[in-house]
Amino acid sequence: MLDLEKLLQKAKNEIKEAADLAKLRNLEIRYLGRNGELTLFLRSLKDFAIEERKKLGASANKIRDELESLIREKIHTVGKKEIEERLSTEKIDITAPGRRLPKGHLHPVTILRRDIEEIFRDLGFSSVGGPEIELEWYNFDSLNIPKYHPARDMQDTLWLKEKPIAIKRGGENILSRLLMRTQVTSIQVRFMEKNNPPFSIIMPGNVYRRETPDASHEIQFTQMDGIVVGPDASLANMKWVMDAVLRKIFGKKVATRLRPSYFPFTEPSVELDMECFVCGGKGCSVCKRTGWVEILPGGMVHPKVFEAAGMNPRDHQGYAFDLGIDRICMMKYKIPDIRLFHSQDLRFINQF
Amino acid sequence: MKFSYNWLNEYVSLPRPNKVAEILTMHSFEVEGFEKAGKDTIFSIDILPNRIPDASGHRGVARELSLLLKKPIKIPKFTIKESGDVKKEISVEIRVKKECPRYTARFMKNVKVGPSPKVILERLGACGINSINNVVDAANYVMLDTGQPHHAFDADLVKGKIIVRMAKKGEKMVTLDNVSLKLDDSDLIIADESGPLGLAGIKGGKRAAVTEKTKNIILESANFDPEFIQKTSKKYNLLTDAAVRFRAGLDRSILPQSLDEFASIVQEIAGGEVMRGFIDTNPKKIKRVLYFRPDKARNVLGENISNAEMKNIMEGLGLIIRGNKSNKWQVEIPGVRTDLTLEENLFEEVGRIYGYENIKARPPVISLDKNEVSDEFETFKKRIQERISNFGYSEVHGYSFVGEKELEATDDKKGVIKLENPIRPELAFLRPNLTISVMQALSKNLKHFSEVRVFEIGQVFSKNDKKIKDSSELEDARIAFGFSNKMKLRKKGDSPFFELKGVISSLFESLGVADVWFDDVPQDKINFKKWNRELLHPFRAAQIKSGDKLLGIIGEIHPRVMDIFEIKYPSSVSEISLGALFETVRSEREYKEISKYPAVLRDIAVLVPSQVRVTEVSDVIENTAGMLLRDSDLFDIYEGDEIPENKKSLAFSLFFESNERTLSEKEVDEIMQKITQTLESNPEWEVRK
Repeated sequence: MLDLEKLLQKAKNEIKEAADLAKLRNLEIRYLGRNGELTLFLRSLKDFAIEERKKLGASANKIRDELESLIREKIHTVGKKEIEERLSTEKIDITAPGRRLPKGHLHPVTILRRDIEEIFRDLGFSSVGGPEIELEWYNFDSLNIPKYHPARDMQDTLWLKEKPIAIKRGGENILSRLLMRTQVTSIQVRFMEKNNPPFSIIMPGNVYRRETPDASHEIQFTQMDGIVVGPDASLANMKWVMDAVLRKIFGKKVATRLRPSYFPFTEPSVELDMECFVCGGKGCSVCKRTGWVEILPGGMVHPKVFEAAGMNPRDHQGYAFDLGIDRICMMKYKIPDIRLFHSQDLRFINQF
Repeated sequence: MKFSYNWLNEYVSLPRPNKVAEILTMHSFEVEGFEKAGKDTIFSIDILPNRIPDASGHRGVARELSLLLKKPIKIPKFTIKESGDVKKEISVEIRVKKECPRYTARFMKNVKVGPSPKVILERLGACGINSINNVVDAANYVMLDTGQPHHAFDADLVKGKIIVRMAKKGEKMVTLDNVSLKLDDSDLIIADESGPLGLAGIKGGKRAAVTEKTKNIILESANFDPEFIQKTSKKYNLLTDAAVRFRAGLDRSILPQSLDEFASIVQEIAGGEVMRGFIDTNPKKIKRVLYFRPDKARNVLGENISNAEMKNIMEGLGLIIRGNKSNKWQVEIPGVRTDLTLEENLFEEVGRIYGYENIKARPPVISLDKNEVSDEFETFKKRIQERISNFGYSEVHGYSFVGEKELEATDDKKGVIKLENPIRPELAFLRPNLTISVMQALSKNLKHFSEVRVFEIGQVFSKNDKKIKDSSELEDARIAFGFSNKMKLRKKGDSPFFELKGVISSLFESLGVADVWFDDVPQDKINFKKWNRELLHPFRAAQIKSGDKLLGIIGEIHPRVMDIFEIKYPSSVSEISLGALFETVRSEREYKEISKYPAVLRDIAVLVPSQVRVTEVSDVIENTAGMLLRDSDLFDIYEGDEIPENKKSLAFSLFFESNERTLSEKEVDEIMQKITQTLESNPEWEVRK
């Protein structure tokens, strides 16, 4: 007959010595498997007397439970160790570069333009566009710019080598020449011909000048005009809107001053100066030693502009202003040369 | 313009220069700077164009300061001793009344031409004007004082009467500083009976100039049409001190008074006899009355300025107010304020003198429901920019202008729009497509990066034979993409085309563009020229369509075009019309139920001849699989070893799923069986086991 105590001792020793999972699995099969020693012994108990069977069965089952838990415990410890050993061979160099997704960048002028549009949107403004090839009528005549004004000159404006277009204005047939718009203000009358007040809109877009490019002059740049028309749209409102917008653009309260100016399409006309951000108002080369930089020209919409849009100036009032996006962008990001904006150079664009 | 502190101080008692500068800047016009010059301080003032008539002289600025400082103004009185009769000495004929609305003149005998006294020399010098002789200096001195330019002729060199007329074409004149001009019939001149004496309002002529030998002089104080002054001074590049003032449109009522000041000073410093009286071609007085509604002024300025304060301001400016008990005042404008022609001009006067800095900023009352302006298109552009940059593409801004070189590869040369006055030939044309711009960007950036991904949103310009009603018909908003990679292509049939195709497909999917597909590029150029098919590789290009609608094109750049743009690596480009794309975007989205039952995944690989297109195979699979096929993805295209020559292997993953039940292996097997049979019904196709 099997000596249960001896078997237990032997199994215990073997489990203790087993160093890997394969050996442990073997032991498990040898003792506890379907044809294992202990299993066979238990099966053979059916030939014993009932009293004997009970006694032997109980101790054999106890030993079986003990061996089972011993093996399980050992398998767990050995398994953990084996995984740890294997993983230690799979070490990677975490200083090697990560696999990056290509990262795209928006143009700094776009980023600023979107930010400013968002600021205006929060104030109830909508964004409106217009053609970049413009009729002389919308770019100059409708804005009360005199026929012989120097801005209409071949030296300042880019004209197209195209025939003028016949249009009807104020019951009159006129021929209007084609040009690259010199200001997004050209959208004002286009918009007012089709929309009734009250409204508050901004008009962002490209404008063109016949300039010799240098660090601060370009033939193509971005402007954003705004116009608000409504029964109470006043200069005091414009002052509030301008201050609010500048504060949000530059992220802090900026000192401003409003002073008289002159533009053909506004009356009264004003210029909003901002305290020079470079010298803090002490005077430097950026602000021409005045401590102030011109940033926002504007004023109350000139009655002639309402007339040009077919509106009775006696019934309407409003204010209009203009933001030079490129200039603000240069100030905000300390960009020294306006020509970088059209350089298409990703070494520049990828910085934003 | 330059102004002398000492001279102004003689008229109004002034505070220190920096205070003067601040007051003028905040209420009148910008003082750009001031600097000490000996015992004087010189201001540099940017007199606004509308203020030149009243404020381009010291007296005008003094008037402004007197009002702002609330201090009296002391203008000296000028006296003349007269004798004889001007009418016996000269006569003036105006042949062009519109161009010369008023001409006044005096005559002086026996003046002694010589150097000017010290005070005049100092003041001219302070304002940057060279001394010539006492008579000419007196003319300039009066201009610096009143803003009205003057001229003097040597009367003995003038033949017969003074005539104001247009020049004859080809007529010649030599200016005071010895420049010969050949005039034409758009030039306004002062002449005598033998020819031109001077360019009216711009520059005197040499022939009747006042010199040391001069004894008798004609003194001119006249008014000219600003338009002619502007044109002529620009034409001959003669932007003189007189022209700068006349082109702004001066006040003609001031002429007799400033002429008297001129004569008085000449008499004082050069002696001589002033003939009694003066020539005046248009003595008619102008009276201008504007109405003014104080309530409207308050509403426009947005500040509650009292009637009394507004009245004070306007009277301080020399305006005469009547009927100020009512809510509509009558305001008489002094002649010198030629800029005040509208009620709105008066709002500005009240506002600036009151001080814009004293106007309290007030938040606008926004009626949110009233602003119905649609800016969906702008929002759409913004969404595209954000998404595409998240796909790894960087935004470039190119110029709207291109040169001959870039246009070499353009199909439609006739449609290109040219500038009349480009700054240089490389920027002489408007870009007909945006692909040019991204190709320029690829070329530039491949010098610094091994992989370039760019996009641009912008306008392109072209014309056709149709008559247009508006300039907007000449342009179209586009988006263009460019991709280039220096690394060698890994296998046959690979192309940078596929990266862009993938990006555009993802973009369209994220925007909700319906039914997008890629179609072959048609061979007929005529209907396709605006898309510049010639820029693309003829066998590696496609049209991008939504349903039947053409949205744009995509393709590898043609090798010939790559040479033109100096792009050395295979690159792909795509250009899409934003307007067309915007119209196809479906904003509505609707939730579709997600199945509760597990999906069954099966792979299938098909061996087909190399020229067979992916869509031919996927169409068969999708059309055969039936409703239970939820999705099919191509995960591999293989050509090469282990595969017979001229064949390729296409491997697809198929996902089967039902919303009603768990699919059995058996029914999926049956579908796969059907797919295999259908695919293999083509004798050249074989499903790999």
